[in-house]
Amino acid sequence: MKKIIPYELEVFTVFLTWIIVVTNTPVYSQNMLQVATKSVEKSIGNPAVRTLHISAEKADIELVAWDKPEISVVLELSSKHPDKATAVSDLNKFQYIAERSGKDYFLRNYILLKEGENKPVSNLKARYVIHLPAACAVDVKNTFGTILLKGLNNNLSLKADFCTTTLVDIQGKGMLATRFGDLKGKEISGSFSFASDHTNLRLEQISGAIKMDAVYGNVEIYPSIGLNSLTIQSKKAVITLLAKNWQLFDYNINGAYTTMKLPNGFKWKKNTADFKEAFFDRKQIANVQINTEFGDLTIK
Amino acid sequence: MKEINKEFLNKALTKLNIYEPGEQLWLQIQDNLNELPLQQATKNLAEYEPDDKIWALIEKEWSVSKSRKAMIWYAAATVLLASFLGLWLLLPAQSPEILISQQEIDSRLQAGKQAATDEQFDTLKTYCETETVVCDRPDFKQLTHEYETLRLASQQLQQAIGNYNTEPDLMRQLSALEQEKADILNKMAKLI
Repeated sequence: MKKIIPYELEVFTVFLTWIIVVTNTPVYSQNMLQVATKSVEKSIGNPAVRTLHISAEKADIELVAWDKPEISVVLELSSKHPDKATAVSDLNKFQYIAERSGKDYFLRNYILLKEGENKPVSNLKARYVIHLPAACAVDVKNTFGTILLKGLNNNLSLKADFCTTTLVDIQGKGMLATRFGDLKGKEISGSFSFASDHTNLRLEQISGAIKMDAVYGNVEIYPSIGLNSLTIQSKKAVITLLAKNWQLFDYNINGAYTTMKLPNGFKWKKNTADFKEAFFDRKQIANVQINTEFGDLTIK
Repeated sequence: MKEINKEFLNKALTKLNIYEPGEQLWLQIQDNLNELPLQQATKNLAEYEPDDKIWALIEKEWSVSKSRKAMIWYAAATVLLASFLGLWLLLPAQSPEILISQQEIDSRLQAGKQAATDEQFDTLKTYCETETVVCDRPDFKQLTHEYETLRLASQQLQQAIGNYNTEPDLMRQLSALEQEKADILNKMAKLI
């Protein structure tokens, strides 16, 4: 036991000296940013996590399903500033939480200011690279960053403000709320609700029961044959529905102050400059219901 | 190793309160032990065989003092050592080391000054303080409201972009917002 303490001290002293040397070396250039980075790696195994919660700010988040039972997390926090000491001191204000509560696991990054400390002036960024079982439910919140979700098949909850979001091969059910930014989705099937505000959405090969509530923004939907129902409620948005064969679905369209372009074959109940009501009924299994206020609607 | 106050130590040990740790703590410890760097590090550790002399010495010492009291003392020492080692292993997870690298500043990714559209919008608003016919129209009010929503969003975005931006995505969003603001301003100007 006597031998271990001095060894510990020795390691600690070397580490401390290294930190002091690293943080005080004056390397400074106007055109270069000093990037201070700290990273954490975790493997979360038994008991299996039911829901992974991520509450992030200014983060790039990658959630990709794999065939292993555990969740692997690599979280990288970085701080960029021309002055190295500032970058390091701001990085120390950039904190994270990674903790379990029963069957839920929580990841979070945030800024923590001690008494008398100034707000960070560096460019702060978090990066989450996560591999998880496809059946793990996820609840993701992010602002000013990017989100990639791939291969998941359980419950999905997403809130993205000013984010560039990409969804690939997603099944199950979920609620996705976006404010500004973009969302692109491919191969989405199941029961999903989208609520978008000033967001450009593009959903390809989409099937199942889809609900869309769009305010402003461009919304492009390319449904596949597997579509059961599509309900769109829009205000001042530009909606485009592009199907390989649009006649595969029944339609009920309602528009107030909306510019509409519908294919030949639709029957009009009402067609005035301000209000339009049209339908297409061939007793198909799948139904498309669209209600618009202002904006444009195009079906092809 | 001879303990002088053996009696006192034993008495003190028996008087200590007993606490059961919560299940949460064990899960936390398990998760921390599963950390990849730790797992990899333990695999890389070198193995050493102790010298025969050590075993002989231990045997000798053992035969000299094999009283139960000594055993309790060893147990206590082991627990102390284990918890110390445990603490040492847990500490690095809470304060990961900081690495430094360099990146060139890209002037194209830096947010500029306040956009000219905002100044023009403010001029329009001043104009509306005297002229009320157009400015009271619902469509004009609606456009004003939309512009203000976009202006707020643009300000939030610029704050997030900050001084040393390296993300092209955020700049792309900002220019799209500014474009939308300009479109609305044009619509407003046409109404006047």
